[in-house]
Amino acid sequence: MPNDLNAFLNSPPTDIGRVTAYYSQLMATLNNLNPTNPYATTGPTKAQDIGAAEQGLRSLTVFGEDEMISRILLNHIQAVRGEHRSDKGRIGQIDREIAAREVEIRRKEWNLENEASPNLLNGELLGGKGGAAQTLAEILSLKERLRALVQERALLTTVRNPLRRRAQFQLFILELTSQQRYIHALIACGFYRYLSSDTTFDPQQLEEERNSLEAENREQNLDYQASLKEIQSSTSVIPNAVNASPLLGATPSDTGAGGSGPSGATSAASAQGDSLPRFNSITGLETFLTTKIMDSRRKRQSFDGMISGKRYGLAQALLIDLHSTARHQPELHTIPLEARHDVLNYGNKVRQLSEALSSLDYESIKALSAEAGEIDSMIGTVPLKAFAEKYPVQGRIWARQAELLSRSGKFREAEEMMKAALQVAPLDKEVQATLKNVQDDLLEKREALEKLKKIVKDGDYREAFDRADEFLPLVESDGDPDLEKDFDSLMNREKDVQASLEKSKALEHRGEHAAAWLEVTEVHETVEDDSRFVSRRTELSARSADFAKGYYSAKDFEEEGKDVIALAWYLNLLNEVPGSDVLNTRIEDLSRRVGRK
Amino acid sequence: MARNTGGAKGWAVVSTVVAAVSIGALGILLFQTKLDRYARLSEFPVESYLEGRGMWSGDFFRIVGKVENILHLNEEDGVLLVSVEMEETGRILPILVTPKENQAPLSRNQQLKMEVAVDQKDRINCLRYDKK
Repeated sequence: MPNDLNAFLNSPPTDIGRVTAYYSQLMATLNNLNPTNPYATTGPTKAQDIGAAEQGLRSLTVFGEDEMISRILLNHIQAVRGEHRSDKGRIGQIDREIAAREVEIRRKEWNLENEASPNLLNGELLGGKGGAAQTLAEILSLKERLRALVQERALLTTVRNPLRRRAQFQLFILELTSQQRYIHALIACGFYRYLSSDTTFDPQQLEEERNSLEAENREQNLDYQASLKEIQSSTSVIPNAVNASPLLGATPSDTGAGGSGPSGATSAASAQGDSLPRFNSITGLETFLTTKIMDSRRKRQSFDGMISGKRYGLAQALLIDLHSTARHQPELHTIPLEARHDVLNYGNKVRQLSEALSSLDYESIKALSAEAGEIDSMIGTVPLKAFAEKYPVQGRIWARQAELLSRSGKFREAEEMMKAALQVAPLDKEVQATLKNVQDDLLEKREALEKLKKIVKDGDYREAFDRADEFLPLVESDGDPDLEKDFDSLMNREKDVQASLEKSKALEHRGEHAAAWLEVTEVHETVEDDSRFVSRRTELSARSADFAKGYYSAKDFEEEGKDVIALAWYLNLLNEVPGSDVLNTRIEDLSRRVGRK
Repeated sequence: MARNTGGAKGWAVVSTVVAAVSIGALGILLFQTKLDRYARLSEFPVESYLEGRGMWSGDFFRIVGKVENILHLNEEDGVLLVSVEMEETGRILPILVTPKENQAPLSRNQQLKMEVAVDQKDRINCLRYDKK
């Protein structure tokens, strides 16, 4: 749903009452001017009343909804009607209004300067939060009004040629048509037909007049931008407040106000003129406008029917159509508040349903489709419910499979399955809960794998063995042959350590202290500093001091290259530990070396 | 007087016999010592050797003990490396024995007397041996 349509649907109730009064006045004015108009309530016998119509037009100028359209129309009427007559009185009136606006602008600018100054006591702005921004917005609005007045004055003072004045009036009517202000355009046509007998359009003259107005508009727009920058620079202490103003950063032609002025009208006409058919005369244009109004009325009737039948989907489509083809028509703006809210509510439900579908929020899909079905009987909710039932179940099955794969150590497969489950049911609570467990498990396993790799790298055989139950599945699932080999090596090392310690204890128990000491001394260099061995050697050293001394002597002599003395030591040590593999091996090696010499 | 002379003769005979026996015994002892060539050798200083203290190369020592094991046989020159348990200390030493034609071959548990010398490489070489 377009944003401006959303804003329209959210209009406060007070606005709607005022708008209804405005359009009633607008239609009364049209009725006085053209008794056969589509809104006629008095019948074709009623006579045209130009005076009443003009009076009605004047009364319209007080409505904010009119956006100065009626005033500008009156101005065109005055300009065409006066032709060569002096506009002195009218110009004088405009000058007074301009002077009053300028005084008010200066006063507000002075206020703004104070409001934008910092409060030395608390550091905030003197105008408080939003105060300066509000004043700034008022100044900009006043300047816009001032600009329109200046343009109005320029129309009276600069263009004296009656042909050009009529051409400008025609351009204005076309612009009203382009802006989908069909009633205003029809009123303008009625006045034009009353004021001028020549109701044909001269394309060449219109083009020249349009170009002239566009040039003027560009010049004035530059002035406007300069003025805007001046205000912004003078209030630089409140940049955020300035930027927050909805009126800032938009040229007059960008805002609604701009569209109402002659210059804005022209630019918009050139922008939208392509969508309009080519009109040869006021009569042709009136036919077009009448058709458009009748279309709008028909759409509105259909809309009302849809609302009463609670077919909000179709009503919304009609509303969007009305909003794009009859933007300023009473058929759109007099839609009751309740109907607006119904359509808005339905639109919100559909939007939420669409979002739920996008995010695969099955619970929301089920709830919203049920709600939307209750609001609008035309909506088929069965396929939606079936869709919302099927996929969460599939997601839960896959999530469970991921959990099982994770538990069995197939982490890669578990991750794939997890992705698949998330893809079909990303917001399902059961899937999320299961996958959270799997993720935690995977995370834990990944951390454990990292820890295992560090343990293997550090050669920490003791921790590797202690956590074997935890690490073995990891090693198997990781599939790295090097890791598996290194881990096995660590496990065997710890087993050897434990076996040596056990054997040492058994030997000690039998009173073979030297053998017990040797069992925990002659160990692999990677484990010789193991705290258990160190502790055990310390325990046994008192009872095998001589043996230990001899053993270290033998090692020292061997290192020094004194093989024979080392051999002598080993022979004597073997006497104390008969059958020691360690000593026998050393004796064999050394005997071979000594005997060869 | 004659009694005194007879007493003196008896004493002289006894002294002579004792002296002769003593001289004979001494002679036998000296003879036996001359026959046991190992007796004049110093006992091998096993503790000094094991502690790696420098030993005079060229000195000869006596080792009396039992052949505990034959550790190695060098097939090129027939030199044996045997371990001998010393009688006195119970220490075991590795000794290189070069076989000689006129000597009986070594066997395990054989009781031997050995004349040994330590070379510059700390090897204990048996120069000769005899059954104990």
